[in-house]
Order: sequence, then C-alpha cells, then structure tokens
Amino acid sequence: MEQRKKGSAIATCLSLLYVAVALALLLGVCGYCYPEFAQKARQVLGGWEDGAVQQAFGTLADGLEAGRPVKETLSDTVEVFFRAAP
Amino acid sequence: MRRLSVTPGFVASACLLAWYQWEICLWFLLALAIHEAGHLLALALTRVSVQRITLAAGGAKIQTAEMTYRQEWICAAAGPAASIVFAGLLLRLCPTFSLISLGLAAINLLPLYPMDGGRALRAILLRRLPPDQVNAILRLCVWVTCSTLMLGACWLTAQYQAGLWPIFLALVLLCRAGEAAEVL
Repeated sequence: MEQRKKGSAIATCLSLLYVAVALALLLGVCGYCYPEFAQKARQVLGGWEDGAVQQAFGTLADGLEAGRPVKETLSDTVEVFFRAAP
Repeated sequence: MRRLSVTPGFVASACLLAWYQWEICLWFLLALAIHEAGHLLALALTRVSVQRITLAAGGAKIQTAEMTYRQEWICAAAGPAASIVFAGLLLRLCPTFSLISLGLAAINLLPLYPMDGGRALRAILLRRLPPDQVNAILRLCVWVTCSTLMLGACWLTAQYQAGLWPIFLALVLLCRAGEAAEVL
C-alpha cells in the first residue's frame, strides 16, 4: 500500500514536470513568434475595422434608421463590405 | 473503403490560412504532413494497422486497430518527435517552417487527452498505475494546463495588444480539454 502511494506521488510529480516542460515549450514558441504575428494581425484587422467593417456598419445603421426594407439594406451592406474590403 | 478523407472544415481552415498568408499555409501543410508521417512510420514499425485517416479542422485523426499501451505511447510521441527533429534540421535553411513545426509539436505535446501528449502520458501511466489513479493525475494535469494557458493567453493579449486571438485559441484548447475530461 505504502509502495503504491509512493509510486502514485512520483508519477504525479513527473506528470506535472511534463506539463511544465510542454507549457514552457508552447509559451516559448508563442512568445517568440507572437510579436511578428501580432504586427501582421494588427495590420489586417486594422484595415478591416477602419475600412470595410466600419463602412458596412454605417450603411446598415443608415438603412435601418431610414426605415428601408431590411432585405435591401442587408444587400447594400454586403455590397459595401466587399467593395471596401482590402 | 476510402482510407483518407478530407472534411470541409479542413479545407476551410487551410483557405483561411492561405488568405492570411499563403506561404505560411504551405509551410503549415508541410509541417502537418511531416507530423503525421512520424505517426504513420511509428505505426508501421510497431506493426499496427491503419484503418482510416481523417483531415479535419481540429487536425488529423488516425484510426487504428487495437494497440498495447507501449505501442500507443510510442506512436503518439512519434508525431511531435518528427516535428521537433525536422524543425531542428531546417532551422537555418527555413526558420519559418521550423517555427511552425515547433509550434505544431508544442500544441500536440500538451497533456490534453485526444492530443498526442495526453495520449502518450496516459498510456505511460497506465502501464504502471491503476486506471482510477491515472485518471486523477490526468485531471490534475488538464486543470494545471488549462489555467496556465488561459493566463498565458491573457498575458500575450495584454502585452502586445493585437486583439483576442490568443484567448480565442486558448478557448479552442479548453473545449478540447472539456472533451478530455468527459473521456476521463
């Protein structure tokens, strides 16, 4: 029984050590790659947020406020979105 | 029976990645092929027959015949091992591929059950300990992994301020951990 408990404790410690190594590897790779990835993501998302998405939401909001038919407004919104997309 | 099937989710993920940057998509597909080749080589060497390979949005899934614990941990560890070896070999020649391959290995080595790390760890523990003790240890590992991942994701988001991508990816892994908890 004592032997079994000892074996279980050693297995738990070794498993947690494995977890630590796996997480260190993942966080190391992410930490190394992330600045470049973040820069690119910021450019892509920024382009969409400032341009296409903003214009599309503007069209949708204007259409709904003006009381135009929903189908027509949505159609215009999609058209504006794809025209303005980078 | 068709032994290789590709789901629309895999095609959609690849297209999304190609739209982001096609070079990265190509390197990723190559890294994935090498990773899966590692598994298939180990399966062939340990004489386990492959029934079906499915490429899905969450990664590739290889269905095999019944395996012993020894065969299971060797075959599970072979994929990340192949990724790490090729990442090391091509580090100078092609650093982008090396980083993608290393990232793939790092994600797969996480001790969440359906993934390679969780599968290998479970098989190794089951060779020595009874299933109830193994499940308790694995649940602890899943909890520690998920907590650290979420904290790490929040730190990356706060540090580099480029949106919620890391938290989204951590949530995807947490969903996988949820599946693991159900299996355990």
